[in-house]
Amino acid sequence: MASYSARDVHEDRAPVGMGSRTDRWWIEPVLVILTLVSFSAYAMWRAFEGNYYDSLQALERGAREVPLLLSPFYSPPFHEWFPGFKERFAISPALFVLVFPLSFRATCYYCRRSYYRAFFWDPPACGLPEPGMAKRKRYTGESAWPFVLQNLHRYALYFILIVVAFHYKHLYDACFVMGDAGRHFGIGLGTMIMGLDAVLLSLYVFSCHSWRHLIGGGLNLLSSAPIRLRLWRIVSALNARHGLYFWLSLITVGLADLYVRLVASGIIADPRII
Amino acid sequence: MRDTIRLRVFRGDASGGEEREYEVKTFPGMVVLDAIHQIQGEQDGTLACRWNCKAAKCGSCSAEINGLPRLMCKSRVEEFYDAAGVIRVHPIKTFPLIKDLVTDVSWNYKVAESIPPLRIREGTPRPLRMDQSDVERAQEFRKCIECFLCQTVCHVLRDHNRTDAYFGPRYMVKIAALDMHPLDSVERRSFLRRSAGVGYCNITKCCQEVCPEHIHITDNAIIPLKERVADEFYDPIRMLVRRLSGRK
Amino acid sequence: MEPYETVKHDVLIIGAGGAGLRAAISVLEAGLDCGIVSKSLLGKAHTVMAEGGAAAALGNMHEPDDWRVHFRDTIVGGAYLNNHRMVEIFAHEAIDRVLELEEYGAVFDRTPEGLIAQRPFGGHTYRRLNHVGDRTGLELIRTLQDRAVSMGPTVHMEWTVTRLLTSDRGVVGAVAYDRSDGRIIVIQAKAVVLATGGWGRMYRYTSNSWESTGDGAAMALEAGADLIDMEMVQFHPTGMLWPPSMRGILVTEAVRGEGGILRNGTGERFMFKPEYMPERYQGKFADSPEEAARWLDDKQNNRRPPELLPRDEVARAIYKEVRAGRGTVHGGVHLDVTHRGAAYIRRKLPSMYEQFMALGSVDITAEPMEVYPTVHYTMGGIHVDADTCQTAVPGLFAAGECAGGLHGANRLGGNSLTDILVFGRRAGLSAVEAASERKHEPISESQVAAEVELLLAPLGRTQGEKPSVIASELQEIMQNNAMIERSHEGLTACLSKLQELKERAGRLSAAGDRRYNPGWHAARDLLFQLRLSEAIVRSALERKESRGAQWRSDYPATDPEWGKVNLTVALRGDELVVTRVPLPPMPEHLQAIMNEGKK
Repeated sequence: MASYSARDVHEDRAPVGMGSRTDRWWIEPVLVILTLVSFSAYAMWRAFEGNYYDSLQALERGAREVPLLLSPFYSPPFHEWFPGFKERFAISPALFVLVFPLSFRATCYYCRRSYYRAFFWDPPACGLPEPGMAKRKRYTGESAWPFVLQNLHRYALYFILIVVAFHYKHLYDACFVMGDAGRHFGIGLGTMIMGLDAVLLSLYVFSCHSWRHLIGGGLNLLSSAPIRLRLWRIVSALNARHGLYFWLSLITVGLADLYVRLVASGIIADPRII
Repeated sequence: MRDTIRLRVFRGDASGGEEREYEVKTFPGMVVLDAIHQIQGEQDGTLACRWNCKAAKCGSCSAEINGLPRLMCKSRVEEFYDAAGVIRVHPIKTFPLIKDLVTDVSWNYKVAESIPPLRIREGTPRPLRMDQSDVERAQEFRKCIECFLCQTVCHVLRDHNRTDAYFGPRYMVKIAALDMHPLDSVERRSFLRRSAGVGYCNITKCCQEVCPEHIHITDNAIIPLKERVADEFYDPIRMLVRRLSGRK
Repeated sequence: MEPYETVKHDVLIIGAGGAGLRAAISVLEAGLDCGIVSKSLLGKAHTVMAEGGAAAALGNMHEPDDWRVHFRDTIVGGAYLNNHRMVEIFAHEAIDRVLELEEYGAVFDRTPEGLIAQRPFGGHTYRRLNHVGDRTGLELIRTLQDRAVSMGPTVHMEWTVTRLLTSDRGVVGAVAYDRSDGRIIVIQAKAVVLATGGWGRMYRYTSNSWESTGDGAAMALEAGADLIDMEMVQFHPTGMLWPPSMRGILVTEAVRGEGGILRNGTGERFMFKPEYMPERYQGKFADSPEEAARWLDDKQNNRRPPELLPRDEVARAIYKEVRAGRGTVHGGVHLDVTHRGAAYIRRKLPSMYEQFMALGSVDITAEPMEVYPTVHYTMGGIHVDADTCQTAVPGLFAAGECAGGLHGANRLGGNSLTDILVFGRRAGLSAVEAASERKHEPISESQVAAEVELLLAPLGRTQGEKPSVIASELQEIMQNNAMIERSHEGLTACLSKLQELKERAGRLSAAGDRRYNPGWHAARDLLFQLRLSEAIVRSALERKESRGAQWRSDYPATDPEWGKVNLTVALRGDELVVTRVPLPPMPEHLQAIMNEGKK
């Protein structure tokens, strides 16, 4: 151990509040709060509504032909696997389905950054004194209960991988329409929206930090595993935009659900392209 | 650019201080450090600040400019003055104040020493051979110039004063450079969790935002280290497999 | 008298750059108590500014390189003024010193075979610069710093040593003050290693920081050691020119090593002009831009571009182009590397890209840089024994930039980073040996008292000269008269102005108290600068020829007779005395190496 010559200084720091930021640092946390709160409110409303998640419903309401769209809030389709789910459990199957994306997003490294800042003020913005710092209990971060659970992010990842697969199954389904002539091929605006949702969700999931670790980040001698090295480089490139994909995929999944609701409830008819 | 700007510089020591205003003449390309030098040369030779290279390579002239941790030599004045031509320059807040813009950062040096150094795997033939793709990760972390801007902006150290529990981003980067060295043979996971306190980081990424060397501190160093620690301590299936297979 | 603290070490190392830290490693390996004094925080020393690489003939690039070629290149580059034995040791040991860094944890760029990658540089026949992008110095100092501190030295950060204490048995210690609180400390030591770096700060435009005031060389002079080759100050061809705020900041030679092209204000690639090709390099460089372009991809069958001539030649060529009215808008030349492509530039020259982008608003992947020579390095320094780094004062050793002799009249890029490793280690080992033979000697209270009085005097004066004013005038006269082009007239004018400044510096005053007071710190540094400026000017006056970095417009030719002598400077009373010292004849085995190169 080296020793350093002592000097006569106090432990006191410069006055913390003095010279603090005066720029508009609050814009980001405000946007985060608004987006997350409104998305959650919408998602909760849709889950409890427990209706208009399958576009086939539109046929009952007199539509002649509809695309086969299933709301991503109801995927994987528990309601198909356990018919009468809602009646039996008096609860919408969406609530079960939503656990998967919710746990993935809640433990997502990017999302953690955003809500620790916006909701926990830990810190609200870089270099800004944390409000009520002195009164708060001893900070333990993610080293103790409850936030130590964030370390289980990889398990949320395993489940979301299944969800991603289902999104592609639903995208495949969305390439068909059901009508008087039965089921046949057809692409509409709905297909595009389902496609966008599937692609952005994939970008979000496959740019995940835990996925990056799994693919190759945990290895020190990547050069001896050339395929994993190549994959790791691709994932690393995606990872640089993980935050962007987080927001985009959040918006598109909400949009996809909204679109399905509009079609299923007969408010709009899906414009056909092919 | 304005012809003159007004620099409000913190003057004082641990017993107290105040902002003092200095008017300085500008010139093309002027950085905040130039303005400080002008004050020292023409107005007040007692104004204390650290600097060396004036080219963003040594990491000495760290300060808080308008409340944001920055290198003064890399902060162009025209990007910082407000409508009244004012720039506020304060010392970094996380470490004990010595005088004016100079703080006592010796804690960092003590932390550095407690990190287990590189130990090359036994039997590695010489000359050492390493693949460029394997050294690149460590090379990113070794760009660190030890300006300690990440340490000062880290709220665990800055607001919660947990220097007792967490080494700070600078040393997560240092540990990452060692742990990802292709020839290293030291097991650092338990050290990372217990001594270095990687769990205290809540990845709010301010360190990465202020890094003048653009090191992806959070994405490339801290999170991968958290994942490595999770492999060892927080992954029940892996832990079970390890126990069943008898591996340590 | 002013109270002071006393600390004791077996070996005191003054300076914590690469040379000081490498010396410390040797001392600590021997199990001795080692004190390291650093003027700045640890790890901020000038070594971090080195960019291009560390020259050592590892021969990793499929070229027939070995230490002999490195020896020859260094002597030819130094215009034959180098100390032969030092160069021999240097070229030989540089290889092990670089490989040793990898054991300590340095992570160099790699070749496809996984070995350390080497890049071409001015004056080196083969690709020889072991590098990490363009931040090799940082890698070096951090590696040495980590290694040294893990071995348990005592580090005195932000202390400035201002005087060496001597007895009739040589050096016995030093006087220092703590920059943060102005405390006076007397350090007792059995042996002292000076590793204090250079003194470029006395010039207006320099790549050097405030630290480069030559404290070590001046203190050695005052303690009875002599200096050598003081007229040889390196003007790096490419410093930043615009914006004014960045004037003088280094643009690494690696830009030219990676293919950078120099063009004057009219767009002409002037380095191809025959007048800029010195005789000793004729036939060794590409004679057309086409060959130079082919060299980028095929180094075996083509010769390197003339932009890679040694620094003295390129700096002079740029200076002449600008003086002849062919400069750019701001009075420099263009350095263009855009033809290498954006991705390559960002990978190989990342910190240059960042430096120009952030500080100069210039995208070097898309437009040329504007450059002009800047004061960069001092070849001259403390006269030491080649094998032991021993100065004329018993117990006192010197290594790195503060020592002279290795580089002769011009240093090749990349040689300084290995210089500090090779001779840092040797100085450390010699200090270990000296410390085992010597003991702590009583210090002279009168020497301490004299230094304390000198140190504190400016704080007591309310009416007096401001250090910053004199420092600025000093920079002005040195820039104007002792830069690239020198003449009897300019140098004598400079000398008389120096006498005036010296006289005024006897009445320096500094406001404030002893707590972290830069104005007061500068006052003591200024005295060192004035002393060394005089040594430079007197030596430059004495050498009546042009050689290496020394270009006398009144003696433009290189004189073979002058090639046989070095100039040394010693202090007699308060007078600097310049002496001609003949170079020893080159031993046969080294002569043979030189002759091989002529074939």
